[in-house]
Amino acid sequence: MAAILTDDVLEQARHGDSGALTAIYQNLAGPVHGYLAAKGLEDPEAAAQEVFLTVFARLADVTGGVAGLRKFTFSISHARMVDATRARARAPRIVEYEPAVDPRVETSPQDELLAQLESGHLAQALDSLVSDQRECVMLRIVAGMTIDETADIMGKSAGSIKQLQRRGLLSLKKTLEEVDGDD
Amino acid sequence: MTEPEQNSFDLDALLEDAGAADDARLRGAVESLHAAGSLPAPRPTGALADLLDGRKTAAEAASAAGIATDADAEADNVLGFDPAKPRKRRGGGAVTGGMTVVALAAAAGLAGVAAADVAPRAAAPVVSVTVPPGELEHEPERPNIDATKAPEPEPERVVKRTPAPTPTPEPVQQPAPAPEQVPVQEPVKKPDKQEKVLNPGQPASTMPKTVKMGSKSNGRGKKHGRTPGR
Repeated sequence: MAAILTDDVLEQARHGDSGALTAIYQNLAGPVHGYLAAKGLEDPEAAAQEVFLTVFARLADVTGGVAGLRKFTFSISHARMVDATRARARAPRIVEYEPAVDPRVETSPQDELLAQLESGHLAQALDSLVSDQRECVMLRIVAGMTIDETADIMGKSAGSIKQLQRRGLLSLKKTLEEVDGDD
Repeated sequence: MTEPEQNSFDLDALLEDAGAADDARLRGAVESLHAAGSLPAPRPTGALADLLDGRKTAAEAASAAGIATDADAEADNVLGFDPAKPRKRRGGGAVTGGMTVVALAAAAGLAGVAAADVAPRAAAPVVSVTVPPGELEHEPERPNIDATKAPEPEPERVVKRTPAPTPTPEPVQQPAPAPEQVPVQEPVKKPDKQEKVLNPGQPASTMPKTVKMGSKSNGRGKKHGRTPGR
């Protein structure tokens, strides 16, 4: 069980306390990992660790207490995701890996998540969303960001985030109805 | 001591905002997505493990992992991190872009003019001539010209011409007789017709009342006299 994240823990982490750093990591690494995995990054575990290395190296820049730390962490995650998406667009296309035929593979949380997504056609429904709608839904639902935090991370107004969230959910509902109706 | 951070996710409020509070399929999908945020933290490895174990500082661990910790470099990718901090504006973007557009337009214009001046070589027809064997066995006759020897100046040529025979003067012909003058016939006054004086006591007017033309004097036919003053 991870320690509860408080402003005092944040202050201790700023002074390099390894216990406080571990507490931050244990509290936020799961949502960051899930967020990056749901976004389809090839190696979300490695990306999540890079995010926290960046966050810990720049703890002095964080303002706003624990809420500011969460927003800052997901801002870094969002930037990493954007960089990874651009890098993936520039990289040559790689043949899809087939984990079913690889005997070395054992189930990981990412696999469980993806299997859960695929079983309910959720991944297909998420792909049907516009980029901003998908990002808004991810930050609001997976990362648990508030409207204002999501607006700050995406560089939009709170009203725009509400519209994106509403339209994203309606589009998600429509796509799920279509996908499930085909079965 | 502050309150622990509460998760702001409220499924019911979220679905109500979207007007789909009663949609069980959407509710299940959103719950699955939210569960993705509850994944366990991945086991730290490498530089992060060293940092969390206290073997390295944060800067050392980031440097070992090859992660740039320059705040300015990272801030460009992090949206809304510190609203109080003004984002850097790189000046000259519009000017540079405008100059680039003008330069490209000028280059395109010059290229178009240059392309219009070039003869359409690519469109010229290619003529292929097949010469049957033996056709060129006989070399064409060429004048034997010694190229090493300077050509001698040609002497001035004198053209001898036999004098042309002088034409015998023909006898001067008499000029053709001038055409005989056609005598102008004077209007013949008929003796039986006397000029009638209208106003004997007045001087004669320059405009006669009646002009009579000779009927056959000019060969143009008869003209009717006219009576001015009417």
